[in-house]
Amino acid sequence: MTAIAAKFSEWWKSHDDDLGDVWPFLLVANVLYLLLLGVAPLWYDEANSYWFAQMPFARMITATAGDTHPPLYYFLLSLVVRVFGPSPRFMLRFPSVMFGLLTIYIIRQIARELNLSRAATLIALGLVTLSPFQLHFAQEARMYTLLQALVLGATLAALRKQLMRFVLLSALSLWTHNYGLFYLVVNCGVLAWAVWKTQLRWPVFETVVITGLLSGAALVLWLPWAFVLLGQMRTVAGGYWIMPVTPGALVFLITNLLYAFTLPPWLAPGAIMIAVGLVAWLTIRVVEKRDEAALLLAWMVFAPVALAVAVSILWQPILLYRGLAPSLPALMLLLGWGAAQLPRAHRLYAAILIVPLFVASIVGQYLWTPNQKGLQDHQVLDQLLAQWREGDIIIYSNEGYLVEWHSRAAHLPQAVLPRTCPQNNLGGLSEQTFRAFGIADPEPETIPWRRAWFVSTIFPTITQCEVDMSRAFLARHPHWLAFAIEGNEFIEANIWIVER
Amino acid sequence: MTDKYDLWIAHLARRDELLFKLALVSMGAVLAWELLRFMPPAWAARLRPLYMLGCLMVLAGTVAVIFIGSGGTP
Repeated sequence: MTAIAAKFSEWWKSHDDDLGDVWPFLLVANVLYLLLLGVAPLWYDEANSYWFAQMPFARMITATAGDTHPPLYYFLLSLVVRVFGPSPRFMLRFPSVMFGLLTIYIIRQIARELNLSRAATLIALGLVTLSPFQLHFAQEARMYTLLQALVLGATLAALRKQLMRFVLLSALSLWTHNYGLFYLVVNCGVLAWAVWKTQLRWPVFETVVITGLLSGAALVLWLPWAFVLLGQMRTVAGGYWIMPVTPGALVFLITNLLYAFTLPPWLAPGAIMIAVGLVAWLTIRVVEKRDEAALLLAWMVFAPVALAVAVSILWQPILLYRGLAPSLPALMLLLGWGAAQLPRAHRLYAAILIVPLFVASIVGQYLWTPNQKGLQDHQVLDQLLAQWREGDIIIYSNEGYLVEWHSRAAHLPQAVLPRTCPQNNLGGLSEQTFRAFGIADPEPETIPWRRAWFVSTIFPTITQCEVDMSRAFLARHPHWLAFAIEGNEFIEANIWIVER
Repeated sequence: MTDKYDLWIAHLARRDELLFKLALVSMGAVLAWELLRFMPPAWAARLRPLYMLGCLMVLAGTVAVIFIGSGGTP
């Protein structure tokens, strides 16, 4: 025991410099991230992750190629599923917790490399730890905290001029999310800055060559997926659910990055004004001070947004706050930098404005996320399962609820209405992913069943053709309403009992 | 697409317009704060705390009005 304690003490001392500042934040974040981690059901995107992770590797790659993301996160999740078997929600989300904590540690290291003051670092770490966005994605079985950790890891490697590490982490971020391409550009800028700062003989030439070679090496490691990305881009160009960029959409993005989605509606207008005001104030400070570290952080915050906006305008709308997750820690570091320069009273004023909103959103995260993630839908599934009898089948008007309920209803006979519409649901699975998932879509009359639970959903991104097919199916059979899942001006989701 | 798509698009347009208006108000407030530095230093030193307090009160008032208007449930 004494030997172990001595070894731990030795290890702690050797890492004291690294961990001294950051461990209280890691501890608080750890508690926040693990609290109620497995309570909310898997919503559509998470259920998708789980389905990908359960598939044999070759089929997972085929299915992912038809989707809009690269496969690295699904591969890591598949290791969790293989180790722990049909995994509980807690385990599926646990990797995101670990990557979220790793992100906090990397933020500390970046602050050190940028020579930010202790006050700036502590403010930034505090803000990241209490960030509702960080909490939300640390508790989500998706790839966003992994993307953060890899991108920020590459940023750190660039600042330290650790060239091989830069290449490897950049390549891994490209295999995690397609926004990794934007962040490769951003990190090339950081690397160019770091290289430029060293005493070079031919500064321009050497900076361009080193940055070009390293980014080229990262791209070569990602090359096999580049061809797949072209196919994914063709699918997205055929119709996708992300809306065009407007000034309001940019404000929405800033708001989501700062508060995530669980602020009470009555707090939202004030919160939005504070968020925009902070960004505007920070921009003025950065331009005014022209501090190198602040300029670099501003580059990390704003350049990916500018790139995503440019692609959205020139090609197809793709601007989505989630993909910009690696910019949030940079924004927090920038806020730390800005706040550290304020007089104490002004700092307190800023804290009064921001911290209560973060806390309200965090409380909302625990209170409302289960409902936002479809708790009600799963309660309906419970009732359906309680009334299940021999000869029953679930037929879906599209694959939405099938994916969401897959972790609980995969053993039941299920099918989707035939996919014969000329245009697919804008938010639905591509044909390739649909087939790789092995979802059946026969004519309902050609398969055996005595009673069908018909899950009919109408929401903004589906086509009129799909609605017509649902109505036609119901018109062919006696039916009555079993459950009204949701009904408002945008969504109608019902379950009908259909007799043969 | 369905009529729900059109309703959704109209809803997003209304939301974006509201967000943009709120952003303009916010940027105006920041701009006004920055303009204080062009005042004589003695005036600016007196006005800054008043401005901060005023903004906080307006913000708190707005939140209170919306909270009460929404029926008073969190």
